[in-house]
Amino acid sequence: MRAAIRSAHLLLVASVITCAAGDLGPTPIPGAGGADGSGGASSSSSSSTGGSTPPVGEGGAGGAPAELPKSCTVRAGEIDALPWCDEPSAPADGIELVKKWHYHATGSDVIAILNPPLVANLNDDDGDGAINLCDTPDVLVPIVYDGALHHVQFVVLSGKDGSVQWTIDPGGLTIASPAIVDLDSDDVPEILVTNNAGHVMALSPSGAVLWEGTAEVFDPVGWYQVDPTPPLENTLRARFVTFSAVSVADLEGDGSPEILVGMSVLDAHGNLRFQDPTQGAEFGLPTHFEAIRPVAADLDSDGTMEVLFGHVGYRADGSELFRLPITPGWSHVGDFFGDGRLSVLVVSAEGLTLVSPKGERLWGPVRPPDDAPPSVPFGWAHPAAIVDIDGDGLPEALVNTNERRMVLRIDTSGPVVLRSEPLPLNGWNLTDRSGSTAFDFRGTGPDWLAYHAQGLTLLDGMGPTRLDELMVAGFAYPGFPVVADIDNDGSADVLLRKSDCKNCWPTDIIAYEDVQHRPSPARRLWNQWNYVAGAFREDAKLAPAAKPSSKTTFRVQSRLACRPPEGEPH
Amino acid sequence: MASISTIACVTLSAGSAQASPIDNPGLNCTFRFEQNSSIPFLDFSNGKSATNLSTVNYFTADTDSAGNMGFVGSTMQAVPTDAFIGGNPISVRLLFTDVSGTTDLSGADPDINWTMTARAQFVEPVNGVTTLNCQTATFTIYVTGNWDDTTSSAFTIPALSGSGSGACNGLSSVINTALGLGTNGATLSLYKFAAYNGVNPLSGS
Repeated sequence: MRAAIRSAHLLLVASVITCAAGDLGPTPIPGAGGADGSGGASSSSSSSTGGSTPPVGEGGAGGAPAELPKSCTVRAGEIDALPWCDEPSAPADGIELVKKWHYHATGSDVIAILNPPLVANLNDDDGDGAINLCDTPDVLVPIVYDGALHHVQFVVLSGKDGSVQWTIDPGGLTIASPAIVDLDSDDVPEILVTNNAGHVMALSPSGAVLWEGTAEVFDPVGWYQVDPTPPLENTLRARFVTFSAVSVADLEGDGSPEILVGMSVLDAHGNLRFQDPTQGAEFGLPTHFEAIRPVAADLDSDGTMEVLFGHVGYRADGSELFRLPITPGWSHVGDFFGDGRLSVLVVSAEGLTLVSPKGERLWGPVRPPDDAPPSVPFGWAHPAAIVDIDGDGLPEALVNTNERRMVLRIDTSGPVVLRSEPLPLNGWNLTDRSGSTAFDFRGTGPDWLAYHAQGLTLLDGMGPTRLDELMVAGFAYPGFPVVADIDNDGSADVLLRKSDCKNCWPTDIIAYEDVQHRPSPARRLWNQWNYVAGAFREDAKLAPAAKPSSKTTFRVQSRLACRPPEGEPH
Repeated sequence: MASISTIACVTLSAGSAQASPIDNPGLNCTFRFEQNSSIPFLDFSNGKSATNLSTVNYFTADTDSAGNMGFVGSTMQAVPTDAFIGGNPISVRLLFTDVSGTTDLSGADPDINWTMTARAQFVEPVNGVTTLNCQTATFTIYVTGNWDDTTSSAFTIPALSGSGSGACNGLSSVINTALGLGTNGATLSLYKFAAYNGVNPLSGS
């Protein structure tokens, strides 16, 4: 398989030579393997590939009368390429996830798949002349290959069967989680990465370097220099920001997006807009910490976005909005009070902290349910998800700790535990950066993909029914689940990482699908670690700014509406 | 990684019909650790251990009929330990820089008497701990007995220095503590060990 990867890379190099910015992505490599589709229901003949006729589901969205044009693009004023409604539009009757395909990163020097995979359309694999929503979605997998951490490569898998389409290895990639965004709205997405010079680069889908920024988003001397030992100052300016995640937002709504990574904000060409002066250096050399992974949101609905680095928030103009007395954590936003403004829920080692739209700390850090000290120092190092899971019109927070998975109502006075499930740890600790999400599989409201150390429990929203129990492996590290329709069949899929030995880093990606391919149309995009469904169109372009509402979700995939043949989406 | 079959092992004279530690001596013979064994490969002095050599790990040595070994090189992978920095496992690579001694396959059980020189390299990617910035000074391991199941004498893996190639991105003291480095009591275990001249198992009679 490694040989296949290398072959693919050689072909990729050739394609890079001929492809300029705006290319349609590389042609998949016939026979390039890497996936094992055994073990579950195989892709049925109803699964669409690329531009094939959308499947006729069992009565939900996703089916299409043959005479209607395919929904390949996002219409003006919308953010999704909505499928045609079939009739009648009935909810699916259940969900049973089975393995669809399995990718294993091979090679004696494979260290880890450190970040969750991303999903987007990266090439024109149906040959219609454009990269669009009729292509088979691609799964971007970042792999660290050697113990020196000098070799990071992205493998692009077909969502249909997990086969290796091509590899991306421009040299010098780092371990930060990339983002896939069509920055310049030319209908070809860019892959935004960091490199070992501490810069942001934009890559074409093929892996060609489109540009490299000049701003240093982490200190490369502090991270890479071995001898002489880098000064502590350099080390500290790398420690908290190198293993970051790239995020994109249009802070001023002027059509020119900003790139967020570490504690830096760059323009759409990688030039520095502003940067936190310390980049976390004040935290010194703690034994445990989490890297800063920024996101932006218009907290107060004034038309400009705030930048949220976790313990610190900034206004779009680079002025500091708040600084919390906590260690680095991750920000999540939600209209928890239904007033059309977004509050910031920060998860850090200390627990949960809530910040108002004006940047005032409302409460925290607190550790529900009982404020007990965490059993392990990283007990709260888990990103949350924000969604209205109980259907009360206000979003809840899905929060994992090392011992519990909880649904919390975020009140002005503190978190209220609506549901708390003990984790079946079986002697394992919940790994860092793992957590729960939700998706409306059945058209009846969000189901809770409640994470535990070895897999997922799929719960009927707030109901008592366990819809499914997914044991990913006998070992830990499934990581955060990613939900998307990766094979474009109108039925949502779930991606998880997996390790194949005790205490090993994950080296596998497993795709799960519903055994019956029941209609559960999910977006075909999960384009950055801090995924906000409403922030991006399905074609990876930034969506027009939407007013915050209680329907605003965070790290939760959206179920697609459908379009009646002559009507409005519903 | 080159496949094992492509590593040339030139067969030397097998010698006379009398008992011989090695019947099929040669150059560049590969000495392989058991893959996917549940037996810890390396135990640290503080009780932590590394298990699961998931790909082929070996050293290469020219081997004569008397079982004398001339070290050529080693190919070892990073192996997860049950020690953590925060929630992230620390992996260790035992990089051999010399192996000398004898291997005698003439009896009922394989019999070895090796002096192994190694350095330990550590990896924890989230914290920027790499094989380049986190390695110990060399140390010596003595291992004798039946390579199907034997354990070395206790040895000391030197503590990480805290600077240069032992700086570990500022985490050397954390790793020293996590794995008991600098303290005697570490052991290397050989379990279902095997050696090959090309694709053929080394044998004695």
